[in-house]
Amino acid sequence: MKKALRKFRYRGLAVLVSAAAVVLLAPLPASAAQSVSFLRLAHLSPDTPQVDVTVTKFDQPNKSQVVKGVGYGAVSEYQRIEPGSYTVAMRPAGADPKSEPVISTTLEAAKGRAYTVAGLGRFADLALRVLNDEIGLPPAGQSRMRVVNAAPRAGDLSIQREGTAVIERAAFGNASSYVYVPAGQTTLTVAPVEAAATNLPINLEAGSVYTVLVLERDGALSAAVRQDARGATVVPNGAVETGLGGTADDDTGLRLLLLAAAGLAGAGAVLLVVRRRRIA
Amino acid sequence: MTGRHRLLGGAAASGRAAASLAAVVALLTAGVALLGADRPAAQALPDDPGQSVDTALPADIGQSAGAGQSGETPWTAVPGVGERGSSPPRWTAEPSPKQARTARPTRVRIPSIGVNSSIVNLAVDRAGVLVPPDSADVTGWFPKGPAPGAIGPALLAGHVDSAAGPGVFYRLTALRRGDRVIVDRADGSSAVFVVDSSRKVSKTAFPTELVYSPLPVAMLRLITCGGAFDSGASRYLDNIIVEATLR
Repeated sequence: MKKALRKFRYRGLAVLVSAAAVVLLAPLPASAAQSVSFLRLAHLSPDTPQVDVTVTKFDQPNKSQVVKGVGYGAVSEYQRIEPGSYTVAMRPAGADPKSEPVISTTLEAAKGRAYTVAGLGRFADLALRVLNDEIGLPPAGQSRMRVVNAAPRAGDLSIQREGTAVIERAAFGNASSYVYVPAGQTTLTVAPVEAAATNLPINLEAGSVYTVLVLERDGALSAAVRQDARGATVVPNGAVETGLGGTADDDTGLRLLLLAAAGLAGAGAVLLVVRRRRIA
Repeated sequence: MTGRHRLLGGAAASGRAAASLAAVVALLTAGVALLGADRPAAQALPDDPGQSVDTALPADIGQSAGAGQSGETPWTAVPGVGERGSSPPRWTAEPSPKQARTARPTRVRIPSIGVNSSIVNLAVDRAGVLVPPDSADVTGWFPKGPAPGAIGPALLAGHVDSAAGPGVFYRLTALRRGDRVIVDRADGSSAVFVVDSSRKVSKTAFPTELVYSPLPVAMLRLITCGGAFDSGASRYLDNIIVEATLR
């Protein structure tokens, strides 16, 4: 028994040393989700023709990315981008990418945050707006939802969940604030001031983020619910118990001491030697 | 910092471009895909200082660069949009975009640390705590979260050890940036992830918000135990969390 323990102690030490080596030699970032930003692009101005969109990081001016021929109603998938400052610019589709943009805006992309950069409003007062897409954890059993009204003929509109208004007076050319709505199979009603209401049956998942997008095509309105981001529908409490100690040193105090020593010495090898002496 | 400079458009507005929405979305998606943080700039603009526009100068509206080129969209409002007709607008059906159902994971393979394990479903107990797999030789997937490869944070948990010896995720801390994690799925497909971060967190300060928050892209988290072992409580004091991005 004693021998077995010693063997596992040694193995535990090896884990310690290799962990120290990983930290010292090849530090990984602590979190990928918290070290990048997320961006998607959208054209939501109904009477604005197709555009080419360029995205340029301030410190990499020669590495613009161009998205060509973006028409009204188009919403891209999200992509990971490095956090930092970007210029997002729109030009008429087919225009020289070096020509002056018709409209541009600055995106300050923060770590762990998501953004939609969208052309909004009428052609005559087109705005290129940075929408903050909130992807934090919603309360248990809730989804987060907003509406983007991109249909001028709708006028202000409200969103009801089974008859109860959850978003009111959402004006054309704007994204509403987010609200929390109970998750589950339900019916959302989009009720414009200027037109009859329409119903959208939807299964809202807890822990997800939704945008109701209202468009106008050839004089008719359309509404769709987009699931922008998805989390866990049930959020477990606390940590995960995934170890029973079969490879661990069972002397926590000594182990912590050794950990501290490893931190100070900064070298696992030294630790090994010390440890071996002590065992001998 | 919003600038707006109207270009003089080409003369005749030739009506609306006829590209289908699907084509536009595909273009947009393909274009934005080039923005990926880790990807080379496949469509970087040619660097030609001789023809660069000095954006510091105010635009000369009368001589807008690029206007009137062939293939350029006439820069005038699309007519007939948002005008009030004699009757209120109708609704047309536009189906909400559905995320394709992602098959459940059946196996996880991590070649660099010798993992090749079957996958069982995990659930929470009455206290709401995640129950790990019964066996230290299999990996657990939490099906109340996204499946690996679907949008959002998928979670796989595995033991670092049993009471007798190493478990399936014994060498998780040895993973390096760029290591591949392959998840095989019930429909025969596989999702390939690439490791890009690792952290050790105290179980008393477990980052629930980070691990279970919604995400707009597919990500995989591998979780096991680490740090010091408290023999009294028979538990490790820390969790190891490795994050990998869908390739």
